[in-house]
Amino acid sequence: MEIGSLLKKCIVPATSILLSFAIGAIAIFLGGFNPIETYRALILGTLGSVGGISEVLVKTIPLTLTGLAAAIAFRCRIWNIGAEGQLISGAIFGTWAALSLPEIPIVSLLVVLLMGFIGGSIWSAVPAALKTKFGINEIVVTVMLNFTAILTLNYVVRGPLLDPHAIVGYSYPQSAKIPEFEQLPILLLGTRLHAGLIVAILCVAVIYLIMMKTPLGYKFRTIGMNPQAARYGGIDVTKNMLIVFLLSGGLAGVAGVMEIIGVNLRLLDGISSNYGYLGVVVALLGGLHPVGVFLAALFLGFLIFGIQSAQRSVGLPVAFVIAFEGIVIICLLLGEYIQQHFERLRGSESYGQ
Amino acid sequence: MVSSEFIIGVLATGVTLATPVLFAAMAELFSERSGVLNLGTEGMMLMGSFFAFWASYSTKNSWAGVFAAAAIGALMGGIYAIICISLKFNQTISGVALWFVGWGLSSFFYRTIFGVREFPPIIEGFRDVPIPILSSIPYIGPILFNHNPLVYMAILLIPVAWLILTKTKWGLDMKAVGENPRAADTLGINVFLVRYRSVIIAGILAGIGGSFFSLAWSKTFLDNATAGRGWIGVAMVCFGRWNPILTAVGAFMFGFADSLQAGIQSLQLGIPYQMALIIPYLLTIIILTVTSRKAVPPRALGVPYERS
Repeated sequence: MEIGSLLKKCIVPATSILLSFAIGAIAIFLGGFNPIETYRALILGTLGSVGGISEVLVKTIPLTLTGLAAAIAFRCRIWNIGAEGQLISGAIFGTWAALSLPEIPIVSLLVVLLMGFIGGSIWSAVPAALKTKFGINEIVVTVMLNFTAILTLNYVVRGPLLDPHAIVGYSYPQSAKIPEFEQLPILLLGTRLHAGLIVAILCVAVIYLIMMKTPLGYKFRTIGMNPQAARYGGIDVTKNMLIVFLLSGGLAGVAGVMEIIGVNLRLLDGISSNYGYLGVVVALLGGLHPVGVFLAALFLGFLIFGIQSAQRSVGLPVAFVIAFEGIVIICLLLGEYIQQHFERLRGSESYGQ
Repeated sequence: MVSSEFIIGVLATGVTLATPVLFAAMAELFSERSGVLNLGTEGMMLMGSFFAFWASYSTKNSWAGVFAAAAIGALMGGIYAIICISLKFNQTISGVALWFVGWGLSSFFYRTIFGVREFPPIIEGFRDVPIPILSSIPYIGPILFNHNPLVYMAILLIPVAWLILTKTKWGLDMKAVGENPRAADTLGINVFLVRYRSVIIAGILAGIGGSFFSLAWSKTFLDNATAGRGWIGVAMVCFGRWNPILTAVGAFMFGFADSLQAGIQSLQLGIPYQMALIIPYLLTIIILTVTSRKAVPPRALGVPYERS
């Protein structure tokens, strides 16, 4: 029964993914590439070696967190499209903390992670306040704040956080290197796979517990289903929405700081690679369920690294990732639409009997 | 210290920079007045920007670029209409999806067709065409009447949109459908037709708005050239309370702010240029905050119509 319903839940996402690959093949063909060769390169480049698999997991880490960020917000009917900005803000705050903290084993690292969370929350506090206090739609505000964050990062790595040893005009604009005691340890020698994977899985577990097993999660879900009813039922909608917003931004912020202390080891332009936007598709593909989010993040990680390998082997532009993401969302909506129609059809049949 | 030439320059550039936002806002207005939320405007603009570039690069004719941008906009509008009006998908999610598709595909096609080059391919694009007599009026002439054709199109669009939306049957049908589709349906208005028409017009306008970036601004294709202008258009419709004239005022305010920040950069006051570039985005948030409490959207906005 359990496995049966779980499988049933996977039907729509799985068929949508297949459909997206079919539509993606058309775009690849129009772009002048051989779709079969491209997809072969995509699969061989990722699953064909330990190095490939570890890189997929490296990308799964931020995607899981931005996916969770989007999922908990969407569950509450908060359209937070701002994970991109929140991730960057988390990375900035985290880097700043990492470069100014003294060496205290483990404690420093934890504080840096916490600062990432706070950095993300600060960025999501703006749309949160505007939505709950003035009723302003959060979509446009969060998108505006993404652009703001990108520009702020651009400034910070050339100004306040610029590596003091950098030679102006010669060095790349970036921060100083994160000290070793604040770096996330590598899990698998010879790869870039870092302990952020454990943090991401822990976050999945914690969010699962909060959403499914606590009164707080029950409130979030009720607000998402019907805010009016939730209010009549005595739930403080404003307060709970604020919590969801801050939690959502914080998770994206942790994704950002872990990209710095786990992968790049310096703050620099373009640290995000659109992980914030990709979180939207991760959340939707994962059915807004924490475990689903993790599986979807694995798939997206595979896809991104696959397209990157396909760029190296057959020359497919990486810009394809973001287009493919849009196609996946549309196919997913299409899949849900068809499923609902089937169920309605079956329902009317059983009425006939 | 600040000369009158500087002020005229800022105002004239402001009119130019308001152009894409004006197209985006008018596109959004047409769509929203009929009850369809279109968050894919940014994606439609980016596709418009690329196709305009491609067409004018191939034909050496800027108007071919405008036409191509309108065509791809209409196509994307049509797809969005099928998704949101016929299949009744969630408009927030599918709008964001359309944004991603337009954003990704425009860059993807650019890379596949033009490859990676040391120097980007350049098109001639539109040049400023001063209007005889009018352009020689002091102050007003250089501000309003010495621009490229897309700017004039945008300015003309304001009265045209106002006329269509408030004086014609098309516009009144749109309003009826956006406010109360069931009543409109009872009166014999084809809700689906009206919404399809509005969303496709929105696509065309967004596409042309996007063509501004390649044809009139950078004269080449840049990834994500719109940098949020489509989204700012969405915000300006809210600021303009779904009224074409007020929406246009919002677009011009944005244009002047954008131009002012560029002017501030040129004065070299020691303000980091990134901080100046942030101003338009923050201004949009502030404008939304101040005005949207009184804003009342069309009642059926975002709700698919179900004919039972």
